[in-house]
Amino acid sequence: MKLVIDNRTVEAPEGTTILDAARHSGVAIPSLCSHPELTPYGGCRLCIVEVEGMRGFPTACTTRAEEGMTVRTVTAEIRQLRREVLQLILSEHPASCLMCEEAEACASFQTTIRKAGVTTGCRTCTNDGRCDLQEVVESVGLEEIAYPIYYRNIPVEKDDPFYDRDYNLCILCGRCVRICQEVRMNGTLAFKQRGRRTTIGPAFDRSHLEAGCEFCGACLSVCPTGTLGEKGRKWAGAPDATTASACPFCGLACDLQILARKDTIIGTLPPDTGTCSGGTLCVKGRFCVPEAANHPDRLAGPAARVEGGVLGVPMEEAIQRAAGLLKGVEGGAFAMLLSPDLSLEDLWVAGRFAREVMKSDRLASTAVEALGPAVGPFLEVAAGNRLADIGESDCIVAVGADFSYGFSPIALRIMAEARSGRRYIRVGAIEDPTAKLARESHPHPLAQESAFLEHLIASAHRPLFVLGPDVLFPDNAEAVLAAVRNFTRSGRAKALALLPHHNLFGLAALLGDTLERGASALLNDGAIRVLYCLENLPGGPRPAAVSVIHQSPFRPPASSADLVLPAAGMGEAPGTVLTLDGQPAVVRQAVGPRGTALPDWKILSAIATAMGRTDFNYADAGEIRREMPPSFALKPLRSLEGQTRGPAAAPPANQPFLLHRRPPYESFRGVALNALVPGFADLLPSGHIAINPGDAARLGTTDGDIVRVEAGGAAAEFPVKPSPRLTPGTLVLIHADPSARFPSNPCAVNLRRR
Amino acid sequence: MFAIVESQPLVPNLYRMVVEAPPVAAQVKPGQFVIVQAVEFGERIPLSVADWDAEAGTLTLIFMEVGKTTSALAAKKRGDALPTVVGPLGNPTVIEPFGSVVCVAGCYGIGSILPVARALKAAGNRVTVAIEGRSAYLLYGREALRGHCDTLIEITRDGSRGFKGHIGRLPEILREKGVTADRFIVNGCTFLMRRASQVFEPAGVPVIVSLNPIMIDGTGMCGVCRLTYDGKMKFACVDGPDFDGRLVDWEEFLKRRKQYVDEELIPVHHTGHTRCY
Ligand SMILES: Cc1cc2nc3c(=O)[nH]c(=O)nc-3n(C[C@H](O)[C@H](O)[C@H](O)COP(=O)(O)OP(=O)(O)OC[C@H]3O[C@@H](n4cnc5c(N)ncnc54)[C@H](O)[C@@H]3O)c2cc1C
Ligand code: SF4
Ligand code: SF4
Ligand code: FES
Ligand code: FES
Repeated sequence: MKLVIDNRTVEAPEGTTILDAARHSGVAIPSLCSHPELTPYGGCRLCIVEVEGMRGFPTACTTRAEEGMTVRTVTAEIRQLRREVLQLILSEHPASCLMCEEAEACASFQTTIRKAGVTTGCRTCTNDGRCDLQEVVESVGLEEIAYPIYYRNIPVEKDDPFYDRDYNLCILCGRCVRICQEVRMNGTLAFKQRGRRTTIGPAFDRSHLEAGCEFCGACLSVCPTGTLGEKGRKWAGAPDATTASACPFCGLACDLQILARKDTIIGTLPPDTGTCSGGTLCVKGRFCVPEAANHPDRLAGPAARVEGGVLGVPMEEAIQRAAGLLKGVEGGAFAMLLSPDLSLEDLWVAGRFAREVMKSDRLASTAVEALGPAVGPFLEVAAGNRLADIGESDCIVAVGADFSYGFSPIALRIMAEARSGRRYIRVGAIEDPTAKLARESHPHPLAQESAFLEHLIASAHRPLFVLGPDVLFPDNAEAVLAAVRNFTRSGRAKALALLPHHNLFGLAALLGDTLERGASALLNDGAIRVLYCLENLPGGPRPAAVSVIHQSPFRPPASSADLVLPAAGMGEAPGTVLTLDGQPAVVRQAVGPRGTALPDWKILSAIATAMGRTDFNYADAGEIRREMPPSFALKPLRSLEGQTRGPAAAPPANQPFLLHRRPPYESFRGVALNALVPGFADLLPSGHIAINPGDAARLGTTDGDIVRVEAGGAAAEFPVKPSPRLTPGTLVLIHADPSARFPSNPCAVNLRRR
Repeated sequence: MFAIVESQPLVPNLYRMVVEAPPVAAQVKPGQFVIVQAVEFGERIPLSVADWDAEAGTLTLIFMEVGKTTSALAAKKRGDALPTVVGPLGNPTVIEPFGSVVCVAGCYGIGSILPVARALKAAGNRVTVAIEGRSAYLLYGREALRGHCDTLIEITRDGSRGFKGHIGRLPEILREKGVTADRFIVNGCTFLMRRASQVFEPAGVPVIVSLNPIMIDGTGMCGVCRLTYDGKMKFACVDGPDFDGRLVDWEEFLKRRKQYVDEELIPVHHTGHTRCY
């Protein structure tokens, strides 16, 4: 199709808008409400053009380009109209900096960053320097605003985690509303009220948290103004470097861009599609990286326990001390705790270190042990993971998958399938954003596992089970997994197991069937002379080993280590991981390691060298990769014939709630994400009883009230956290502490207000 | 503890607080400041005294929410209390019959200029007060000021009230109004005070600025508030806070004020969920 834009004949595909046709041919039309990922809205009226034969000034973003059209995008009249439209927008926007004669001097002079309060101009706006509105003003050209200035004086909304909202800056372009509905299929956001007091947000004055917001940040990514400000980087300024890397928080290893400024990670964004993509990240990838990477508990240098205290020592000396501690220790006297968040390169060197230098095969991981005894079969099922199966199946059954705050790209694919008519069934305790599209929902766990699952897929030809990490914790986890495994073995169904850790496959490949061999046994073994921990230990008593070496990006729990070695954190060292479909993903270095920290493989190599080895002199991660055998891939895991425990009984009438427990498996190097990132703790706090808001009201409790949970003889007290994600009668407790023990999981309990 | 008698937002980001501190209220003079804490064990920050009532024993403070401590202050309500209010600190602004004095104020300085203008007027000066801000909705205090000056000039960036522009416009406005100055006194943000020192230089009269470096004790002990003035080292807390802006080493001053910006970001970055920042 050919049309003429500004006297040039341009080619455009059938069905495009004038705006897109112009863009493709290099003609920039000012626009604010349009966004390439969203349906046209025609709200801002900046993109007006003249079309021969059409009356008035149609908006280019909503008008179809047609064969033979003649379009003019700049005429004196259009320019004038655009200036008026923009002035009207800016008369209700704190725009004085855009017109200030001292703007440049002020910007270069800006003494202190204004870190709090309300934006009253570009110089104190979080969007300064990367603002669509600023760009449009620049291109349209404005010296003054002829309309009366109106400041709406709407209180800034700061109560939700991760981002603040100042609707005094909002130009009501509706991009956030559309991305929330169209791309995320979530629907938390809508236009509220009318006229001058119109803002954006959930209906009925609920908070975003209450309304089911996933805090995916898509709205922030597309907002053309500073209305939505990321708490964690509001005042950090524009990034000076962007690195394409992978998210460190789960087995999907989503592509993301790491934004850095002055060699510090200040934020992340979904991969750059050139349009500031709204993207598919979950809250962890979108908001948690910088907070975890810059956490106050990050280690900047080594330290050693000496008589009477802890002493900071230089790295050289720390390496020597480590070599000294390890001298003469061999075989069973040495044990090592590994992390499923380490890269393949780190794991490979750690494995060589333990096996070749220390002659020990005592390797384990507390993070893996926390996933429970079903992790072996879970990984066995996961070995057949193929992401493409989502699109190729005719029935998707999600079991134990909570898509609220994780695995968003999978959820979006499932929802897209469900929307287009695919059968979608959920089995789980939590009402997640996919629930509204499910044909059937069943509480987890199911009794008579195999028969029940069989029944769910009875009419399907190519069923797919999507197993979330929550499948791992009920008492009958192994029976459920055995049933799914039997389906996949016989070819009756496919399965996709969602791995909660970055490189769980890598660790499984290194450890093979010793993977789940108890880490806690190593912690309690007094015969161990040196315990080398590459993950933070759960708090609690000091390990029984004579000496403990702690190597992590994060400070160890109090007094649990004799030697502390600072490791590079996320985004601070290059490496590879195996994603949940078994593909290698590349993690790139975005900033230098903090302080004197080093990549894990470098520290281990230096110690091996100090102990007299000459075969640990790797120049870089690439050299390690070349050394790793190609078979450094999944090894078969233990089989699980005949392992089932009884299904949970239905709750008796005097114990009307069903309590589900799970560990805080969202973690990095053994540190729970809800301990690293306060906003994440608002979403999934540890040690709280999450309860349906209606149930909470019936009990007369509100957020933070203490309740007594009773089951048979056992009882314990916890604060409550009302959450709309829970169905009535369901409770969830995230707890790392095994002392919070109830007779079963899930467990029928009674709740009482204390 | 020092009881808070009044606390309210004035305009976006600026708050007014009246706090009981009888000993300070009994002695304070225009241009002096106090050091306050928002919470026990919290940071100590200097704030200029914007007004006082010796009889009632109260002080008025006007502050801008810019970081951890000032947002904690902003969250305080009437009936709360501050653990620390020490002062009066610093030297009072010199008040003499100078003739014609032009006071310039922006941001929190619109508050602290009031007692200065009042005292100048009482000392028999012809007083012109110019207040400036980005937009009409950010200006405050004009009614109170009007009673203590001969001419009140308002400047906004967007022209939504008074003259359109920035401090650079003031000499021209003064010429138009036939005002000549024997002395300039400028209170407000560092940018305003520095630009004013340049803009008024040609007038050949003192340009008194009230400096706001980072301070800790406010009594000349820590040295944090050091600056170079006329080639010599001074401590803003005991030698100032008023200085002739024409002799201040501004480059160094700015560098020192910016010194802890990265550290100041820590409390706001590791937050996620609290209101208080
Ligand atoms: C003599 C004097 C009088 C002042 N009068 C007022 C006033 O009347 N109203 C008002 O709003 N502000 C006044 N200030 C500035 C005020 O002290 C700072 O804005 C305040 O300390 C910021 O603290 P914060 O924790 O909220 O912000 P932070 O995040 O700690 O800092 C923001 C910026 O404020 C400055 N600052 C930080 N700590 C101090 C400190 N201890 N002393 C001085 N500056 C600091 C730094 O430049 C910093 O970059 C005055 C400063 C001085 C020296
Ligand atoms: S949103 Fe853009 S134009 Fe508006 S104040 Fe912020 S930087 Fe300036
Ligand atoms: S918040 Fe941002 S994206 Fe949403 S309507 Fe306002 S300006 Fe547009
Ligand atoms: S971009 Fe076309 S109306 Fe907003
Ligand atoms: S504030 Fe410590 S010497 Fe001035």
